[in-house]
Amino acid sequence: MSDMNFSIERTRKTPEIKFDASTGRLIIAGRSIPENSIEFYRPVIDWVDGVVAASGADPLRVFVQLEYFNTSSSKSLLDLFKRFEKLSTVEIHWHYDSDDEDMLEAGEDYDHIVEVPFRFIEVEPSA
Amino acid sequence: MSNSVHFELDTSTGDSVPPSVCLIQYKGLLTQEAYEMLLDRVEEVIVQRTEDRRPFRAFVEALQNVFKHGDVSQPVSIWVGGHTVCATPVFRFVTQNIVGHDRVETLVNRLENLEKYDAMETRAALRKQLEQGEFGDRGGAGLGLLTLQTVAVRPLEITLLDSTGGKVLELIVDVASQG
Repeated sequence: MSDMNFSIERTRKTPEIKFDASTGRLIIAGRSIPENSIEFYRPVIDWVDGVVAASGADPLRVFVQLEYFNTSSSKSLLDLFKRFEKLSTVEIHWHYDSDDEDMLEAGEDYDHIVEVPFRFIEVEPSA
Repeated sequence: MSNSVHFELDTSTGDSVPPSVCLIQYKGLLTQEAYEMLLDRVEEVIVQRTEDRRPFRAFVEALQNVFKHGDVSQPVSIWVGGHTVCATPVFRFVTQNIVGHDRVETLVNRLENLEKYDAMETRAALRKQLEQGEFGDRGGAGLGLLTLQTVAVRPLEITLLDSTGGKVLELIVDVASQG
């Protein structure tokens, strides 16, 4: 299973994306404001296609802890989330700061579009 | 680099919006270095609290809109200002850039649609575009202007002026902090 693990380190403009096959947790955290989101998310989507085909990440819990994301990334994230619909047991935990209504609203948009259960986790702002 | 483009920035609106104090101004080619510098500087100046993330996100969209629709071989003008309304910080972003002839029609179509929408329709259009839109050749998803419209405190001011090599697109967005 460990060969299913996946990891991208965060940068100033792109998020950390980590999957630990032993726990079934996928974390997307940080900021996602690359000029070219297609290029950034392509390996992530390819990896998801692989694990979904192999049922290697089922059940899956996805923790989205984003501070910023641009609209280009929002489309790439949707492409990613749509792939999770093929899994039998998956849940997306959408974290948002209590005073960041835009991030909550963005999560609600995905919840409306994607046929995967969402849990909204309100957190106190760190700064 | 062409010197045929001349930008005159007039950030006054002639209505009830108070004048903005200039915080950051940039004129020149939007190189990768300039782009990074602008992002860093604007975030540093604007984001003092979580509520201030909204204007910073809007700035990212406005700046990336220049990349998505503009001719980046031509100089651009970026202006960031701020004022307060009832103690709430409001930031003004003004971008001016050349749009090549080949992209004008697409842009005009988007702007015409944008003008028709009220707040609810803009929100619905954004969600529909997110769900059904496709990536363009420059990696845009047709969401930037819609997103700016949803967070702006008043309608976007968008002007297309004739210019050699295309049109000059001027975009003015006023965005308040959340809350």
